[in-house]
Amino acid sequence: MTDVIKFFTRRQGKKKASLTDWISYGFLFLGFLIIFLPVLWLVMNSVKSQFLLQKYDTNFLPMDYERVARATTYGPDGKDILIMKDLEPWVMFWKNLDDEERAEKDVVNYIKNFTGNEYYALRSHFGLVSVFAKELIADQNLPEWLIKYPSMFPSAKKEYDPQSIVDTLNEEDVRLLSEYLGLKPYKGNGFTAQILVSMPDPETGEIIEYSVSRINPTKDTVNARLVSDPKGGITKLPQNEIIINKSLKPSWINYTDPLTKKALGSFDAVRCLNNSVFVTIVATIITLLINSMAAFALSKYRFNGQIVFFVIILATLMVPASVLIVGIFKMVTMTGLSGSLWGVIIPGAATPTGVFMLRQYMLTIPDELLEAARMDAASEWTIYWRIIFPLALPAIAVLGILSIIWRWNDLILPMIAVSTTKAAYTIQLCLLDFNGEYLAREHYALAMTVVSLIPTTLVFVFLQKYITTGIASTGMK
Amino acid sequence: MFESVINLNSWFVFFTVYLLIGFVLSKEVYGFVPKLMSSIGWPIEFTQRLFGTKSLPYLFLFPNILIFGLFTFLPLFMNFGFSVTDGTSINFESRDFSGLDNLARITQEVQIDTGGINVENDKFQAALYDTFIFVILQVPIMILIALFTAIVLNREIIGRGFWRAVFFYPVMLSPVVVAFLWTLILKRQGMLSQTLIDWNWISEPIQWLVDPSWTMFWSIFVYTWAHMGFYMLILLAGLQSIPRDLYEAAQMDGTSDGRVFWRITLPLLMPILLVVTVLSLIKAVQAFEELYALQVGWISLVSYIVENAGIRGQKTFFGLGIAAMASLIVALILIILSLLQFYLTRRQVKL
Amino acid sequence: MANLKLIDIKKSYGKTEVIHGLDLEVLDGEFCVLVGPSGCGKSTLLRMIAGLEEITEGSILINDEIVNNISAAKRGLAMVFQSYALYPHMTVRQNLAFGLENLKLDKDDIEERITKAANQLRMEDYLKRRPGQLSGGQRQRVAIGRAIVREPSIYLFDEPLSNLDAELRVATRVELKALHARLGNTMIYVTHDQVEAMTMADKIVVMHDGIIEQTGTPLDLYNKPANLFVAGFIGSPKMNFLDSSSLPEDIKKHAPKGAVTFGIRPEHLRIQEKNALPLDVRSVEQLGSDSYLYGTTIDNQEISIKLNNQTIIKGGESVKVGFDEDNTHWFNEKGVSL
Repeated sequence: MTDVIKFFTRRQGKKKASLTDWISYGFLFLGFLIIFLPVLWLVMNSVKSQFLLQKYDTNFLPMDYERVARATTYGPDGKDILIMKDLEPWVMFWKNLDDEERAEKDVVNYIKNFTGNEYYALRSHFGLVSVFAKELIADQNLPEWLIKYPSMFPSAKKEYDPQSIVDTLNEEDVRLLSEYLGLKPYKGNGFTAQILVSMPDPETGEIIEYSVSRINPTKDTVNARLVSDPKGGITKLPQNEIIINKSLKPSWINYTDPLTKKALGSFDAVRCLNNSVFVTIVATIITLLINSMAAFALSKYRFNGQIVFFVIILATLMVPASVLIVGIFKMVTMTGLSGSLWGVIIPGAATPTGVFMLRQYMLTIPDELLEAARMDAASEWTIYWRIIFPLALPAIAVLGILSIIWRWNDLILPMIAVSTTKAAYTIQLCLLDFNGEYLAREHYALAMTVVSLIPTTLVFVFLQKYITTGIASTGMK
Repeated sequence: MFESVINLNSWFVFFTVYLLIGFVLSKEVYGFVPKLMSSIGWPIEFTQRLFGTKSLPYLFLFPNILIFGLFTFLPLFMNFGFSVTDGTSINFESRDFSGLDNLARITQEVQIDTGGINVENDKFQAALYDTFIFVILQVPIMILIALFTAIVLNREIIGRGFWRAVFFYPVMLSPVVVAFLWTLILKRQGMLSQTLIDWNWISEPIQWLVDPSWTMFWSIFVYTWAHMGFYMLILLAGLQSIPRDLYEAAQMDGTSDGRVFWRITLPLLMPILLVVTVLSLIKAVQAFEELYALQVGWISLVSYIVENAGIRGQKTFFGLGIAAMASLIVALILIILSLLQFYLTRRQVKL
Repeated sequence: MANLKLIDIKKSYGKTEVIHGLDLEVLDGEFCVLVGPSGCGKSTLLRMIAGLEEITEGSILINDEIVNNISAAKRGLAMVFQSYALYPHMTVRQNLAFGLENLKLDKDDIEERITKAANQLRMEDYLKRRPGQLSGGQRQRVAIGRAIVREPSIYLFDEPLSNLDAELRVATRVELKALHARLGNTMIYVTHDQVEAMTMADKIVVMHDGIIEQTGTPLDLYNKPANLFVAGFIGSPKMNFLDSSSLPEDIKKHAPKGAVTFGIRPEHLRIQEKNALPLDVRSVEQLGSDSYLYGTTIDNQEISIKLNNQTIIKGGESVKVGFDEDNTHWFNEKGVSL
């Protein structure tokens, strides 16, 4: 242990760590926290379930409550309250799913696994009552007005006598039709997701499970129902004694659903990612090609207007795309690139930074090599791609990496060129759009944000040296 | 998958034909890469064969200059055009010349079209004022932090590469991601409010990003968080270029640490510090993407331009003209700052 | 096989003329060395011949055809550069093949030529290596090999030995000479080293300040230098120049009319008593086989002497120096040899 301390406190010259050292490390560690905690928080949130996110969960890890469903059914025996454990998450959150997601689930077969009041509760929960009732009416040739009956005004309802028809049916069908028509003693059944907590019995010490609808941290007690006897009414449990059953449950569907196109709707994450990959790769190739050509001309030839061209290219640094939005929008439209990914690729393909960086590097390639190539009967184009391009590879690699990052993270050019064409949205536009519109699907948005981080982070981790030397040598981003 | 890529606009056709011609002409060339490269470069090959090497540099420059011309210089002129015309259309035929009306619309107290009180004027001035406040506060704060970090990293620190990477990492994040990251923490029900409530520091959640008394603070904080690493890196490179023996000489003379900083480090770092300051001024004036995605409670100059241009969302009748006029004003500010930067870096750029 | 003719070649950069009208003829198969101090324009001249530099005035003829406007690629010449200018990203084989590929030769032909050249220059072992992995001498061979595979009509060498160490330089010199004998091509060789020029050339062209001072065989230049510059440039150690008025009478009497400067090479001086010039010896260098004496005359003119044996004379002594009358040179006030 003392060795470890010695290791961290040692300095060159074997002096002990001074106060400035401690301040330095303290500052660095603080910086580390400020930079990485938010990123880590994002990553952790991206594997939290939709339920947790909606509850504004402040746990660092995706600790999900163990959940139970509390259902209320009504029948001839009166009101029944039951608690169902071990239901799948999509059953619990059926109400939050959209039509497409619901259509994928075979709920009719699913509820066949249940009987009695559990069956009735789930039937109502999935909205199958009206479906089954309409089938029943059709099968048994019951009068057509029964279908419209639930939506009639009370005054209109008085003209019919549904009870007489219901009475002719068997017991199951009575219940179905009565639930549909709203005839007493049947009513719509309730279904809510609740949190499972437990507390030791004050006397016996035996662990007893309770179902809780919400836990308010500012209050001392929670309202709970016994799982074993839900009808027994609500008891108040002291909050500091209850055990909340939480388990580490990363919600991987946040990732798998959008990436396998299960999360349908207007957010097509796969297409957004594909568009971004296409833009990034093609734009980087074009950027490297034309910028190295320009840099070659500026560094290896003497010609009239050389300095003028160089200054013109550097001058474009002064007016960035964000300021020229209106004009670029006009030009993109005029050149027929609007709404196409090429409208994102081409306007940004020529970069003054790239030309400058490559030119400075190419100046260091000896002219004798070019002359040797000319003696070797090489054309100027051959000299460019067989001699200069390979020799400038170190600088070209730096530009390539920078270009990948620029393009992947770019927001302004996609906004100008493809705002009106959803099919051509890049990942950044998609995320921006998605976050604004669908708060209910935050779990997908967070997961896709993390996915969008992966390429740049990988590039950073493995090619950091190139990036830092590139920036440090040109002083440009 | 790429339906939007292969909508056959004329550019695509043009390039296909261009490459096909090159492909046919390079029939004597074998191997994939040589064939591809001669298919791309055939006009240069032919010019050299027919007219010699005199005009070749211009051909090598052509693609770059074409793109700069089409998407940097022409847009600048287009902006001039839009700024002196009215209308929702982007076609100049259906826009009316209006002289400096757009300038009046964003600067004068009185609405020139109706004679009433001008609201646009207030919005633009608010954007100008808020951006000014943002720049004035953000730049010095960021430069100071960046300088301090660079100095710390220039010491004999264990794991310097690691720390440097940590501080640089946010630069790699896209503005949208940065915004989400912090929205998650700063929104009404976000991490920060929740935690402070748990600690009983505040009783009601605060909308950090929208609340007028907090929005500027967090704008500056997030913007600095995202960009500080870049300037830190340049400053660190500057610090490392100061010869070691100067410090050793100072040590031999028994100079105190503070004196070494004020008399050696700072003067030698000054040129780079100046450049970095101007560079960050330029970037701060253009601040837009992060702030836009964060949906902060104020409008920066570039946000003002984007919103009026109606590229995302509703077009208004005067919007395009106003946006163009505003962008000319911003461009003017940026050009002045850039010339200053160019003046400061002129020694780096060998002409 | 080709001859080369330069007619009134001039070259200016902007307003500064660096080559002031040169005429030169190099015969077929000749080994011609352009020699001169640095900055004399010899490299520029070579690059003009190569086609890498434009000619301001005059014309270049290869095989009696004007090639002024023919690009470097099409003149059919090959050049060996001072830095060798090997393509660092290609292997030796690729370096050799590059030019041949550009000429669109077919694969078998390229292969054959490379094998032949590699054989000739004994570089089969490192054909697959890159220039960075080779020693200086090996790089030198590759650079020459790259010229050979081209089978050019004229070889151009731009100070090819200046990056080699002394020992290797001598060896390569011999090898180049042998290569010339074997190939029989016209070769033009630029150097600032007069030893290289003397040992290799069929014909030496001495250049100075953008003009040709003298053209001739090595011995011609040694025995009959046309002017003070050539006399001083060729030969090592340098020829001694003395004011002719300060000479002993019986030497002075041989002086032709108008002679102002008297020149004599150190190897043509000897220690003797009569008809001698008194000399204060400053320092002595003993090389074993030869000895060099450096000293000053009474009127402070510097003189060096080469003796073909060891000597007992030491620095600080005074000796008397005699002249070998057959090997004297006289120059008029313009520096022209009489």
